[in-house]
Amino acid sequence: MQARLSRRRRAWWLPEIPKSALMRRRMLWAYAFVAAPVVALLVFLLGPILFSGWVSLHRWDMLSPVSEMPWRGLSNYRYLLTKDPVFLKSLGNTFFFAIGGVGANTILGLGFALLLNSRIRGRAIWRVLYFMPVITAPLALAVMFAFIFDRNYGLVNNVITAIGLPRQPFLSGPNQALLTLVFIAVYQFVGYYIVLFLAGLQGIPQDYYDAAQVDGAGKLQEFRYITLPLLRPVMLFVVVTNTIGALQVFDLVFATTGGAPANSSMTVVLHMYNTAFKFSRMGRASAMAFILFGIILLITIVQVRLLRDRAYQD
Amino acid sequence: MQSESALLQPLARALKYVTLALGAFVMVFPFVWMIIASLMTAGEIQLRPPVWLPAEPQFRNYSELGESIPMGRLYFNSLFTSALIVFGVLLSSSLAGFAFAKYRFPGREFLFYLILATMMIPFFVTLIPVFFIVRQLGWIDTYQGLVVPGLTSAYGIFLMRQFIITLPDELIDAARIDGASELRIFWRIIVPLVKPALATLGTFTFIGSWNAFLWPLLVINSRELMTLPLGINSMKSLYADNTHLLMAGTAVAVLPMLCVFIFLQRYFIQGIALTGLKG
Amino acid sequence: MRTQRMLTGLLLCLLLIMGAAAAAQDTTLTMLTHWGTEGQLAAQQAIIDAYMEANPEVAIELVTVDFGELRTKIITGRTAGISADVYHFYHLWLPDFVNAGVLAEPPQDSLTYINDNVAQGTIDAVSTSDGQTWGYPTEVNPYLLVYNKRLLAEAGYDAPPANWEELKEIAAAITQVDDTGAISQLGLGVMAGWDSGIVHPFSALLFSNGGAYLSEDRTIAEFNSAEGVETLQLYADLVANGGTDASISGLGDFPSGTVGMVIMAPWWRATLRAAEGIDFDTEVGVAEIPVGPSGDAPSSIAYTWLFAVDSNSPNKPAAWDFIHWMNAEQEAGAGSAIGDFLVNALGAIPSFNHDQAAFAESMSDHYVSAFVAASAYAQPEQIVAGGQEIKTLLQVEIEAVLAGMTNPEEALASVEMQANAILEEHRMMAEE
Repeated sequence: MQARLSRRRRAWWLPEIPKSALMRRRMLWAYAFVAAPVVALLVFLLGPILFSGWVSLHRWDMLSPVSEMPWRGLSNYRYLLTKDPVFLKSLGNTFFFAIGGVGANTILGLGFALLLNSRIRGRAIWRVLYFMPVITAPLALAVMFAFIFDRNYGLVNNVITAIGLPRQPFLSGPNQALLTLVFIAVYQFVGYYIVLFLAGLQGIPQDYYDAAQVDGAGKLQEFRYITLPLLRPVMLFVVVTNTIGALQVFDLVFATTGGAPANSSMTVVLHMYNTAFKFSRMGRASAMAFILFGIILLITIVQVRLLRDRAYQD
Repeated sequence: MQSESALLQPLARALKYVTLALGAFVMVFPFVWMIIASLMTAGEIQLRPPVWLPAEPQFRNYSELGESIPMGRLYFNSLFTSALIVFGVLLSSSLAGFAFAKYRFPGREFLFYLILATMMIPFFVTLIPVFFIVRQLGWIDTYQGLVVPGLTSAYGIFLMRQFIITLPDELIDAARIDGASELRIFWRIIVPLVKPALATLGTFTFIGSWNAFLWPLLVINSRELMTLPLGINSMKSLYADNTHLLMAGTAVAVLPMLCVFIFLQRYFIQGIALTGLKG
Repeated sequence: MRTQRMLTGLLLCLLLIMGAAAAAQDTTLTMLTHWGTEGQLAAQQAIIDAYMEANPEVAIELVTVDFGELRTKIITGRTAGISADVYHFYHLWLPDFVNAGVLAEPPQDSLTYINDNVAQGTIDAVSTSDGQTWGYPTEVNPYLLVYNKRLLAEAGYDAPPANWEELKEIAAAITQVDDTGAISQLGLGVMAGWDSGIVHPFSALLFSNGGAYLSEDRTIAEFNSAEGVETLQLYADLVANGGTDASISGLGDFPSGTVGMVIMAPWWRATLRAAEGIDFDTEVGVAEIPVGPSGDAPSSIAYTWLFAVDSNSPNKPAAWDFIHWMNAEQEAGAGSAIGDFLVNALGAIPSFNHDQAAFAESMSDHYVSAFVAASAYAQPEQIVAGGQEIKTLLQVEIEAVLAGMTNPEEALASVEMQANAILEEHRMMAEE
């Protein structure tokens, strides 16, 4: 990198046009290959994010023309962070959802992957069974579990009352709704993480374990000093992608509780959807999106650093 | 030592299978329960004490669906739009990935980092403006509106570039010496070599667009263009008081895809596993 | 040079593809409603078919969405420039829609017809504060106490509660909790998760306690009053004595015969008639809203819906003609198509005098007739810009009280502050 920088004669943004006609032709082909996706990404990602930032400084009901949006400065941000009780609550709920989900997915995913990686019959079948919810629409799972966790006629309450335990409100209880949603989310994605961890485990060369056994290491020591360190890249991927996904949860909450009871299961993206499309407050909703985006970015950076640093230490 | 482990081993093995079986039961039973409930009568679902099986399976619950939910239409829309999106993502990602991996052109680094940066942007940040753009294009309530914003994927371009960059340059140079055109090189040399990566990306994209809900919810208004998740959503209100029909409808929307998955599970799972290692 | 040409070509190609895809357009009238159950769909389609037979040059397409998504669909569809021509919507949204220019003014003929055939209170409910009427009012829905005579009798009561003390006592007496904690029977059912299902019964109780929702000029929230706190305290008391529980759905479980009382609107008749857990003729009772400690007579709230036309519709005369045809009497004494649908398919009370006359017999059963009587004194829901947002905020706080997460004073103070901010914001927007 350093060498290439010093070789450059002109500023980096000025194009270097290749001298030969052949190279120029190839260059044109390269532009043709990247043109459509780059234009599309500009139109559907980069442009929108700038537009979103602009809208977040205004009040806009989406019905009036963009040119006539009244300027509101940072008041949308100020309102959300100081005055909107629902936003702060949904932020807390979203963190709870993410921490619970990521924690459970990582522990269960790794645990079951270890089981499946040992000498076991029918590994493919187990894997398929655990993977089934991953490919099922969250909306379908929401419908299934809304019924299964129903207070009156739900399967779970039928079972726990049959064995003499007290009936639980689950999705309709202010203290249980969010926890139940965490359960459903883990149910949905744990199979995916099992597969990822399993692939990671299978990528660890057997030699390491053989050597450890010669040294007389126990199973626990093997796990602590070989498996875990070598799994760090997969762990990083799992924790980061799972966190990013969990902080954006929408479908599941929309289709089960809708944030009820009394916003005890309201999440940021659902609140944003309501603010934007129910109450036509595009500016405030855009500000919400940006705050969450900033948080996601921050958390991702911290996670990457933490998990990377430790990988280097070992 | 020897005797102890000989004693413990079968126990540990049994424990392993019991744990796995318990987990698998939790994973599978909700689907089974959905099917059982879909064969009950409205009364049986609310019976106290609860019943665990229908006295007589009510297969007519399924035939009752046909009249109010256009299942065929929902399947066609989901398949059609998902297929277009998968095709678009595969084509655009592999072409762009190829260019970024194997060509030198001014602005390459800049564009690539731009694309990497867009990978960080969550969907919901762009939701409102993309909706606005799609509306300006007059694409609300059309297939284009559903499909076009999903035709490219920053992640896909990144993934394909990572794969293609590992292919030796000699292959391409040799083809050029033989007089192959750039498109031919792409089609005949690159594409066959990155098939596993394409399968991965295709699987991922397919699951994503097949299950997508928020975007279709905003873009689609008419019944004729609804995808399966939208269908399930409208069944939720249509059958609010008829859980048995709601379960039947959801089963019809979910089970065929599960069957396809079980047949193709090897490819699905291999592809998914790849993302964790390369990502 | 060649690079430029190639890039321009590519861009042109993209634009062409986009343009071609956006081309096709159709010219039918679209009607957007929220009546989406199978029976309702069939009934609406029959009306449409009859109109199309009489007017072969007009094609009408029916689109229905769930009530929870109706407002969103109207706004996003409108934003997208693909709005329906004819809407049927909840009158609370009228000021927002009018401010945003969503609606077309009705033709003079229609205004005259509405004026001649609808009670003034109902006309006001579909008019903005400047006196402009925006469409054909349809159902008028007051709220009353619907109760299960059998459950009341089993608990030892032969009359419904007349005041809040009796309401608490009877509700607690009906509730049965078994030793597993299962509520097998509940006194008063509420409808959590549904804004109207929560806020309308609250308003009905508030009005029967002498309270008010907004000030008369609708510029300030008035529910945070002594009367309002008493009303929410009633909820808290009912939760404390077991008389109510938000995890039981009044809407779903009253028809199965496990809920004693619900505060509900008339359009429930079809469900109750078909219900297996309660006999419509002998077990469903309807009573006036119990009177609160600060009130002196039963009151209620009534809301309305209306048919209106989108201001962007290219076929406004045709759209108004269709709406008029549906709501006007085709034959003297026969009632209108919508009147027939409202009364016979829903059990709701129609707005037009000719429908109230023509379908008087269908409304004479013990259930609907009680609501007809209540519609004479029920206060129309106060409509105001931002009204839906205020209503949703209030719903959430009422649910929080029901869930024991907050107390009545704090709940109402919090909504009042936000509601007044919203009202002021809309006033300032209107002045801008």
